[in-house]
Amino acid sequence: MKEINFPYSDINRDILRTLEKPSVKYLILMTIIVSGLLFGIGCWFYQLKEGMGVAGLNHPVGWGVYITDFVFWVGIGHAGTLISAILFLFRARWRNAIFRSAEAMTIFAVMTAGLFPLIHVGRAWLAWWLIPYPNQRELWVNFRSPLLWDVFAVGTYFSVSSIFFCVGLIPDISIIRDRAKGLRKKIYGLLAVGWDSSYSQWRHFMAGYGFFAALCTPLVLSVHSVVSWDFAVSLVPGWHSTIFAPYFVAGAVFSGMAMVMTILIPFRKIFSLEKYLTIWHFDMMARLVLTTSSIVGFSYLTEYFIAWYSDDQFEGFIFWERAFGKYAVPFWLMIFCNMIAPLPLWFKKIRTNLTWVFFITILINVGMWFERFNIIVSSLTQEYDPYAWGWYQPSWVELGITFGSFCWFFMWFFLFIRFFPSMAITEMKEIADPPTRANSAAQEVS
Amino acid sequence: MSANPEGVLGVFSHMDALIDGIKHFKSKGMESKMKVYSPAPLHAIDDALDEPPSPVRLFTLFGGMLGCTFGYTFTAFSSMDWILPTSGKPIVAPIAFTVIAFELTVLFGAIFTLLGIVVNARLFRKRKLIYDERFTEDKFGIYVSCPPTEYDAMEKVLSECGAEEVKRA
Amino acid sequence: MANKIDRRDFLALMGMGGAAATVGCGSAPNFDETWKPWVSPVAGSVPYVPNYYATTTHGSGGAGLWVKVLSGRAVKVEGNPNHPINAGTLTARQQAVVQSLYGTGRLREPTGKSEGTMTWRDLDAKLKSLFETNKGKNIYCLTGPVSGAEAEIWTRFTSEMGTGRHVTYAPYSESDLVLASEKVFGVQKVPRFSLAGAKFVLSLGAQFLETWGDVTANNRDHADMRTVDHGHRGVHIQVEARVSLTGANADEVLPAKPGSKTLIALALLKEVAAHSTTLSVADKATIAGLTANASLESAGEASGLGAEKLKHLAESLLTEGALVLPAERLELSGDGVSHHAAVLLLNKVLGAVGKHVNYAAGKPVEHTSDHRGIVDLVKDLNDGKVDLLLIHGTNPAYSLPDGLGFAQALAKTTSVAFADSQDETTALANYTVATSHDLESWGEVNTYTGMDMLMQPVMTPRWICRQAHDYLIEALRAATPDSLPQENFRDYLKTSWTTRFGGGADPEKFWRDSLKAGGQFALPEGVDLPLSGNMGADLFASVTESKNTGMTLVVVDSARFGDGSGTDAGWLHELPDAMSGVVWDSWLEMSHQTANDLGVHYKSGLRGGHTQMVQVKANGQSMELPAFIVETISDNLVTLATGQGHKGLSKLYNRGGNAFAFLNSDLDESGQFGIGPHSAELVNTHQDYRMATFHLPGVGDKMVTPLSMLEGSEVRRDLFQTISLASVGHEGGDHGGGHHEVMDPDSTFPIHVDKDWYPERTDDPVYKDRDETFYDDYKWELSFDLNRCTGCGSCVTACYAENNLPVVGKDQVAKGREMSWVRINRYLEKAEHGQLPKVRAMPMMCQQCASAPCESVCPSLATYHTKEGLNAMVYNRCVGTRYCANNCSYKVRRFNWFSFEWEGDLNWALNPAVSVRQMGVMEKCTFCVQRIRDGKDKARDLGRKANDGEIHTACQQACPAGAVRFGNHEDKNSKVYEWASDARAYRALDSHIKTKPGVTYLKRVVLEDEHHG
Repeated sequence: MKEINFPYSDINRDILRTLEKPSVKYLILMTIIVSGLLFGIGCWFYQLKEGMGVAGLNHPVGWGVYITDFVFWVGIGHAGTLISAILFLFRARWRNAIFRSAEAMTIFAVMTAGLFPLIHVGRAWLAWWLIPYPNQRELWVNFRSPLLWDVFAVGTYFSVSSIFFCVGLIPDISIIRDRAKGLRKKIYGLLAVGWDSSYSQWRHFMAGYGFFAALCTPLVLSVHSVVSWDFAVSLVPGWHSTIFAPYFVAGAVFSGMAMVMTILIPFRKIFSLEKYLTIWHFDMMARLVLTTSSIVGFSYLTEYFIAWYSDDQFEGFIFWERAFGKYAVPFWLMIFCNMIAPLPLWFKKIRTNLTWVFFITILINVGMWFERFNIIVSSLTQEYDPYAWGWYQPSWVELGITFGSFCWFFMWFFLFIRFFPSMAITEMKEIADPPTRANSAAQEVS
Repeated sequence: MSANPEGVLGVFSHMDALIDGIKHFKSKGMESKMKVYSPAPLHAIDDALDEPPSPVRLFTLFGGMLGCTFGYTFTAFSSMDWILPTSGKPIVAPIAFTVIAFELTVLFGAIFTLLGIVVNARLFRKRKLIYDERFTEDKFGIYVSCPPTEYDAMEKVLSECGAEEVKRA
Repeated sequence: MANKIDRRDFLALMGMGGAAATVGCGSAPNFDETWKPWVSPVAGSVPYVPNYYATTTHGSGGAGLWVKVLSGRAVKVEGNPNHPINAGTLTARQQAVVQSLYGTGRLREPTGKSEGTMTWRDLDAKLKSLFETNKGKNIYCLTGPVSGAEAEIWTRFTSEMGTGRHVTYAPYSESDLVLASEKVFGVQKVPRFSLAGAKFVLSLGAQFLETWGDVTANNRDHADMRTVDHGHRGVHIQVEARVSLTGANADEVLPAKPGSKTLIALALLKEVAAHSTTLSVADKATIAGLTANASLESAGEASGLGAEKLKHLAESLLTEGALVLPAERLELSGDGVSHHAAVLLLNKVLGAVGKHVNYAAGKPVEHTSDHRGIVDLVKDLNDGKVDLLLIHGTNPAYSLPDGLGFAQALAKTTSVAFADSQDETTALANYTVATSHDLESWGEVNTYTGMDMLMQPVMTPRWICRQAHDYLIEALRAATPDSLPQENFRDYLKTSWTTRFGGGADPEKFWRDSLKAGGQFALPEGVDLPLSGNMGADLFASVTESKNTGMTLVVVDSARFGDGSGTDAGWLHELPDAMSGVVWDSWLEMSHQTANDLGVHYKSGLRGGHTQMVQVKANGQSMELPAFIVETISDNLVTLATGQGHKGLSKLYNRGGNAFAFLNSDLDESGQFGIGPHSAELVNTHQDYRMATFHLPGVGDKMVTPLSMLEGSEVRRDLFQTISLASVGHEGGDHGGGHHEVMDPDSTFPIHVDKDWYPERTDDPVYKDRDETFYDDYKWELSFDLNRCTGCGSCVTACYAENNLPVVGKDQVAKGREMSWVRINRYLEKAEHGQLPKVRAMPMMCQQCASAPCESVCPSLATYHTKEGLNAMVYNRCVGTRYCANNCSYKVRRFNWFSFEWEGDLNWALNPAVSVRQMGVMEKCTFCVQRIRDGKDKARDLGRKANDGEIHTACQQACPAGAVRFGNHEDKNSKVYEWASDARAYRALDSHIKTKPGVTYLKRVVLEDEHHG
């Protein structure tokens, strides 16, 4: 079946509409976002000046909201790559309408995530020591440390998905170039790097694009696995678990898809792109959410089973405390949002009702944030030596920076939809009917 | 315009017409002289042209292999440069270094693929041939390079294939 | 080592010449704070090479101190190894003396009530006029308990200047013990109680490991008593209703009702005397007569212990080497004399007199003081008999009972307070003269017979000031010219010392030797004494059952703050209270039951938690204090520790409530203010109050952690392990030696016998053709004997002093930002209902794991395993990801949440060998690596390896119980190897997580026939 089928020219017009003069609503929204971002930055400078003590962190709990945010944002990123790369390889045609914005989201999410390692280290001004650079002291970094793996994984992830993204943009930019006038034409002309949509370019372009997709697929799986190893490789009861890699990747896709939908639903409304982002797309995404939700839920249960089955008293203890101890509330919140809330998506009625879907995806975002919070904090509070146990509450600085990070993310996203086609025009054309004598005749009849 | 290389550009608004054109020129053995424009990559056109696979894949392969080797050697040698043992783990820890090696494989692979596209698709170059901006909207096109003497003949052929209009260099 | 010390001291002495001159000379020395190159270096002082000066202070109770002086500044206080009592060790409180030296409370210039801040010239003029006008009148002097040359100069001053009196006052008095001794043996002395060689110690409440007697010596002897010898070890039984740290280390705690201690003593005395085989018939008769009214039944009834228990106790007393210690003075009101008499008689019966109760070495009565003097002084003040009052070395305004009205009386005269730091009394005095600190002054402290400690200045005074005695001498010389040949107190002390102790042929040399040694120490052997006839038949007539019913308030002596004289020290405030773990506060300790009755709800917040303020009314006084719930106290009993509740110290240290407010303002028969169990009335004000601790009270100190909401199922952790006396030495083979095998085959913990995944370091191929090998010369290890460790916390303070640990304050501690590198884990065993739980103390610091979880996770290689087995921490390389701390299974890594500041001059006491850490940097214990470095360098200079016992860590050096051993594990003859390969040795958590720690613990030997972790 072909859900999207419009003359090429319509596709151009409709999608490029988002690039027209910004509405007042847009500008107001932008101001709010930027001021939020400034507040976040202020919080960070305050922390740099005073020291990490302004955060709620303390002696058993060295990682808190910052690392939670880090994992959360990296997770968000994964949906984009999944849609643009993995579904590309699977030739899932419904991806073409959404992958561009999802991919953009990936990049901005990773940009956000990348900030948190900087924010959370005690001496941020020395964070560059984590990069292996040649120096007189012959002092390198510790490649055995999961944090170094992080540096490489997240770094690679950002670079590769940026390349993937930018290359994908080239043909569409050339479209803008050919429509634009004056200075805009010059700028987009430069950005189009001499694309003339001739077949001698399409040929290599498509080949390269395929390879990008092929590279991104294992990459995206590796990134969240590596992030999960930050925990799994350690000795902390509740972290030290082999299930983490698949469990985190599933969680990442889960939260990412939820975020994509949370963003696309209002986006579709505002720019009235119902023609292109049809219910069918959201139905497909909802199914993916449902699948990943059940994977995540299954992982929760497996964790508990192993905690009991391994007969490891420390492990057993921490898992018991998670459910019934000081952090029971976030735990049950997580269970509800990630296991229970998505269940209605089994019904097509719900899946195709965007109000419902929107509401559920919001819950999922909350739930996934708290999942990371649970894993990180509740494990650290109660480790091996009871006398060193503690308890952690985020400080206003941490929450401020977290809020700022959301603003940072949305700022980039809004700038993007303002200046670039937020849907891949050429790929829409791919799946539309090419103009032939036959169907143009048909159009004249109708 | 005189600066431009000589040739004729036929603008098609229907894909099937374009394909007829391609077939015609191929039958004449003029692949090398012909350049096809399309708003999107379309399989039908691929089939009509059927060109050999793009050499970009070799770039990717090389980049990946380079990244992998670099990943292992770099980590191993930098670890042995100044031995600082941690946790009683081996100084050169292949399992740990595999993560780094893998990431670098992907990174280098991607960078070289990009390079491959730029080189093969001849990006970052100024356009010389005559061009029609509607190609990025909904028109197709065939450009045939030929001396001005053959312009009339070519124009005729193109219109026969279904070109709506024909431009001259 | 030894001859090195001599060299040091000799240099020290050379140095003294200069210092002494400046301190002694008439005008104050001009100390110039600006840095300048050492064009003409001070003799014997090399930059960054410490000099050690032997001295003592009044505050430390005459402990032998070695003060480490670097570039002319005292930086650390260590024990004098040659001192027979503290033998090189110190309590936390004694170490904190440097903090009062540099503290914010130090007085800098003279002040007058009306004049405000005065110049020294004005002050000298003022004093001159005061002395002249009052010459021949009533010039009184009020000082702390002084002796020797100091006593001479004060008495001489009072007698020559006028018709006044010299009054001494200290909050704690031993007059009841003196009077009791006088009655029982006819000796006016305070006997020296010693546990050395004791086999069975019954303490009726004396906290001899914290506050009572010679704490350092007691710790040592107590630990020796506990060590197993051929399957036997000494037994210690503590009678107290609130478990003190001493009780926590007893084999059994008998929770007797407060106020019943004397009855118990008498009942035991009667029983024991009746069955004694060694006692003479006559003595038996006398004692039988004295104890006619006593009976096990009534005592068992009154104390709530039951006659059976007491009978059993009496039987066990009748063994070789038994010793009975009295109750804490603070819990005896009125019956102090009879109580001590009963205890002395008991010891007499047990044959402990001479062996453990040493009168030959007893404190002469003139070295003690009672409270009669101060009471008379107040009377004279009120009668206007006092024209001029000089106060020095005592703080009566803080510790005297309000009922006495000292403050009002003081206003009736002209008073001059000589003090080094501000306190309640200086606030009241008309004139306050800033004097030099004990560490900047000359002096003499005499405790037991044969224990005469010299006090010498270890540095030029921080502020422009002199010591009080110099003013006296000046005044005397002004009043009657050439009455005194000596110009200053140093010369006076020297003369007096050499004349009193016989300078012999070369007094100069004798004087120098005494200075070098820190005085002269010769404790005479004890001898048994016959009973004297001074005991009237009615000696014990006054002893009756305490009338207290319902809620009782008992004031307990604080190991950290004692009589409140050293309270202005951050180290002590931040050292968790041994039993409750509370820092920076004073509180009412109460049981869960009591709290429930009061409706006090404890909400565990971060560390510490939220509790409510409770108003306590007792003995006519009323005070509002936070309630703190502990499991180690009986119901219907609340305790309040002494030493807090100051009003006149520098702001930071005025905290909590003053327990001395509950003193009776009338004297008991021995002439001291009785304070004892008061029936108290408690009212919950429902006012929220935040407490701070290092742990989660009631949760983190459980030896067996229950799962929340799930009764019965619980987790026992492989941390603190005990072994029953029966099975000591019977567990086959040597289990402690290597790293790899599981320490305890019978352990109830999951034993992981799986493969160790990592090869021996040296097998790693990368070491081929490299000279890098591991543990070739040294493998530094540390070992704790949990059977010796009492959990006093002396090591914690020592670590603060050695490693420049910042004091972070109450709020930060409550947030869990404490910086102590070594902490005392205090666990409570599960107790049967109605019983007090057993308390387990375990020092926990960086275990220097061979497979350290923290190392491999550091991205910047800021922490790694050195070739000598240390878990090195490179501060400069640390970026502060805190991953290491997260992954540390022992939670001993400390992160610098801020750039912590040292208030006042406290940064002058920083150890230059240890860098001060910047904010954002992780830090932790590295076995005092600077000391290791130093020791190895010294050895290298001599062309050899460092020998065992040459290098001490700060904690090891301070530990009074000798529970810490440090050394080279590769040296198979080293002390640390001996312990590490002991059958009792285990490595914490190693059986479970295989971290291969470099610290071994020796299981605590318990009498119960239990065998578990």
